[in-house]
Amino acid sequence: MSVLSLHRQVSVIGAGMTRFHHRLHQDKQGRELFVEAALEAAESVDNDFAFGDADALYLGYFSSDMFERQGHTAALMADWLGMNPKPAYRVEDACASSGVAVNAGIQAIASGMCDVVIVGGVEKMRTLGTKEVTDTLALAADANYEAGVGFTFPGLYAAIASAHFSKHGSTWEQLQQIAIKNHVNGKKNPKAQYQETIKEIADKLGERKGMIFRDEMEFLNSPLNPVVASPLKLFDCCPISDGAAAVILAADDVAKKYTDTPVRVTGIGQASDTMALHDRDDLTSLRATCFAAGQAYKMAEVEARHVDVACVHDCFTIAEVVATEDLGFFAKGEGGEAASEGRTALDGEIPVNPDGGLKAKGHPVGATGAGMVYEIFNQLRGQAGEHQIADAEIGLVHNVGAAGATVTVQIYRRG
Amino acid sequence: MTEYTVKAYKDHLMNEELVGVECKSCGHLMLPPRPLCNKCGSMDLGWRQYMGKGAVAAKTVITVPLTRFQDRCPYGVVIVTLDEGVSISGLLLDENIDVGSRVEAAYVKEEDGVVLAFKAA
Repeated sequence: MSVLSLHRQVSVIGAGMTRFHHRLHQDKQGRELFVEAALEAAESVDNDFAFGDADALYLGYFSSDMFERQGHTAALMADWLGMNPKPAYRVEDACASSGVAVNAGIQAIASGMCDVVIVGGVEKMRTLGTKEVTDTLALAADANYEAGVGFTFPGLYAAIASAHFSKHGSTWEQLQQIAIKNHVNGKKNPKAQYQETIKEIADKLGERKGMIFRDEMEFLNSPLNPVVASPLKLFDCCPISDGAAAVILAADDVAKKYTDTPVRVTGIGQASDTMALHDRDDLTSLRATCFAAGQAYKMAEVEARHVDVACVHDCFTIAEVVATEDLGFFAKGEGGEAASEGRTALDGEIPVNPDGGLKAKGHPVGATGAGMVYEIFNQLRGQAGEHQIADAEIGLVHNVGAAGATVTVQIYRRG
Repeated sequence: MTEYTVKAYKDHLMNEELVGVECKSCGHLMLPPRPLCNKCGSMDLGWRQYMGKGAVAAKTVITVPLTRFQDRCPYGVVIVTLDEGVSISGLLLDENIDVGSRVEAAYVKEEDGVVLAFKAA
């Protein structure tokens, strides 16, 4: 593998995000959500920033076509931000759509084509019911050979879980520690969809149903946590969400004009893998994560052990286990146990998903990768609030498309 | 134009045949068929029929279904590693099948074609 590098250094100078939510945004369309996130991003820039300062827009939106019956969404957002005639690019790489948009924006600046770009993503999912959302998300799998034989999107990760349990002896009980931890973190994040611990949810639902749960595990083992795709139950799955996130990137020499405290992009990586999960030799690992992370670590000249805080793609509990192994935080097969021991908690050796992750923060598909950058931007500037990791200097973002046919990784450093 | 199409694969399924391709250049086996070898890039391919017998590599039982499969719900789906070394996904027709279980291909006829499935061997 050749050593890749950015020929021009790039920084994040601003970031904004709507709250991710399943009900709150019912009267808004995707365009309004994205404008809201972009306005917050512009406001977060220390010195005056206007959308017209940007040379291009890169927008992640997985399925505006199905969710909003709207195509051509990058041009739509550029229009709504008043950016015309600046070029606008829509990126569709399933759940990694805005992770790829961020990488594309970074490369546009590194190439010299742009000085400043707006990158981000949006997904307005709650226009459809659970059944239609299930069908829409399955579009990210192989239509003939996976969805065509019945695989849903949760089903693919359930298959990964079954293989991981069998090969590494990991357990469903270990997975629950991921969900419990991410809800504890989400409670501290005012932008999270669920700002409640699983114990609080158990007490609330229990009261409604006349049931008393001694602890989270008793609730998670109860009929109130039904199977979605065995072994994964409802609380192993991220929710369906509406939301948007936007990030403003600038070349280092230009960034100075906007802020004294930029967050530097020190490494990026991206990889593809076979569309169908069944074509992979090892079902317990996402090769594209290993490849993208290897590239990003090399470019940033850091190793996994140097990372202070990470946002990883926990669309399902098993996905966080696999991610923490593939990113090199833990040895293969040890991610579940590590989470159970609290090593990824806010006060652990490598805090993972301090914002609540996809599980508690929510997962408006196209917004997720940019939403992770929003979190790391705030963490590295020491402004993450109640879920701030003390003295975080190096942050990692890991965004996965579907079951790993697209993965992006970025490494950021306090400027 | 290639003859190794999705349509050709589905036509074979109608005849209860599981077919893919074999690369004549590097020997790589592929299932389903594709127009070029994803290992060496060669387009010198030939049809390859698979026996449809193998072991379950991954399994799930789905309770929140795709619309198309809702009448079967709950239903199992498996990834099977065939004895020839390639893997493929299929609907699961039998209960009491787990990772490691031996299975063989079955062909479920529906209005718009055949769905590849597996049953206990």
